[in-house]
Amino acid sequence: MPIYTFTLRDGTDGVVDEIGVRLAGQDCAIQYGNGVVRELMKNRELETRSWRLDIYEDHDTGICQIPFAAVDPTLNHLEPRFRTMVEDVSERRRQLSEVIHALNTTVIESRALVARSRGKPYLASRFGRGTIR
Amino acid sequence: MRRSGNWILAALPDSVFQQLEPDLRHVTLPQGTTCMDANDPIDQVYFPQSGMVSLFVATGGGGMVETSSIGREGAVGLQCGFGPRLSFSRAVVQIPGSFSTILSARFERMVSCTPTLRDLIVRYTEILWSEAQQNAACNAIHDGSSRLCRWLLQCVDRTGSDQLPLTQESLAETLGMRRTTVTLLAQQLQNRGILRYSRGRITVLDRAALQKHACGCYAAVKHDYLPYDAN
Repeated sequence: MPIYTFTLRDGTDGVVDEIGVRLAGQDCAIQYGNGVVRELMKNRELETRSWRLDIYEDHDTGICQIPFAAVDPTLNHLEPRFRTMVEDVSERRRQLSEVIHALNTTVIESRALVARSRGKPYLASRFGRGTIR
Repeated sequence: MRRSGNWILAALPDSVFQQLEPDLRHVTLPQGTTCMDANDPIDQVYFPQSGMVSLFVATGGGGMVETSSIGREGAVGLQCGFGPRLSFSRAVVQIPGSFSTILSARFERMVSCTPTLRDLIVRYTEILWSEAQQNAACNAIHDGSSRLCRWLLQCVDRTGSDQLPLTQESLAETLGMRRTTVTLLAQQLQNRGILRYSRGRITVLDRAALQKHACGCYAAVKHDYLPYDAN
């Protein structure tokens, strides 16, 4: 049975379940992934609407992407075209968040690099991760 | 015999504790030890000194969900002090540690002639009951992340340690979520510098931030765990 791993795209660097789960096949993996999305989204649908869960088979082959907005039960009352609009906006919002996050990371890293090159004190790590990659 | 580690034993007047002490046994229990199963007669009382016990109820299909947990602020099986009782839930050691235990028959005899001990049991049972109600509400209306934060804070309070020997599997079972969900939530907290997770061990790095992310249920029940005053 293949191992399925999961990456949560939450508008930052994303988080990965590298351990993964051994499941019978892709249908089971997608069903399992939908369950994970529902658990992550439950009672905070608005906050998590722009997130997406990516599913990989044997660590490298992407088999499915589940946008949270696509399974958000609080949007069920919307007409299909409005729902599609909300899903599109949610996707763009996440992409924008990821770009802003990457930009912030680059600014912090650049400041650290400049300070280090001038022999001055600099922020070496943030939240347990090295500032300079 | 250590006494101060457990708040119920610590709250007993010296004269009462001295009567209880000869019957107390000191044991170290590993993670996963079942202290008692649902519907089993309660044959021992467990006073956690450093570990923590979770109370689970069956959800059908072999699933179990935690309804409450007990650490140094309480004891498991106290109700047998009022006579033979069956356990309502399965009590499993979630965080290994040391425990003081006493046989239920000896404990019942002590309780029958010690009003202070009887009062402490009643007070602790009320606290446990209020916490179970809060947990029921929490499970219904709060999201997984804030529930995880609340549970970790309670673990820290109950064990008195920022380092918790917990596997993701046991956390998932406790919170009634898939293991992957717990892993992703724990990693989000790790990326924010709130905790560090390495195989089978969670270290709380920023308690204030964890409290900020926890649901209001933590603050709602926290005051109940102040050390008891038996006088």
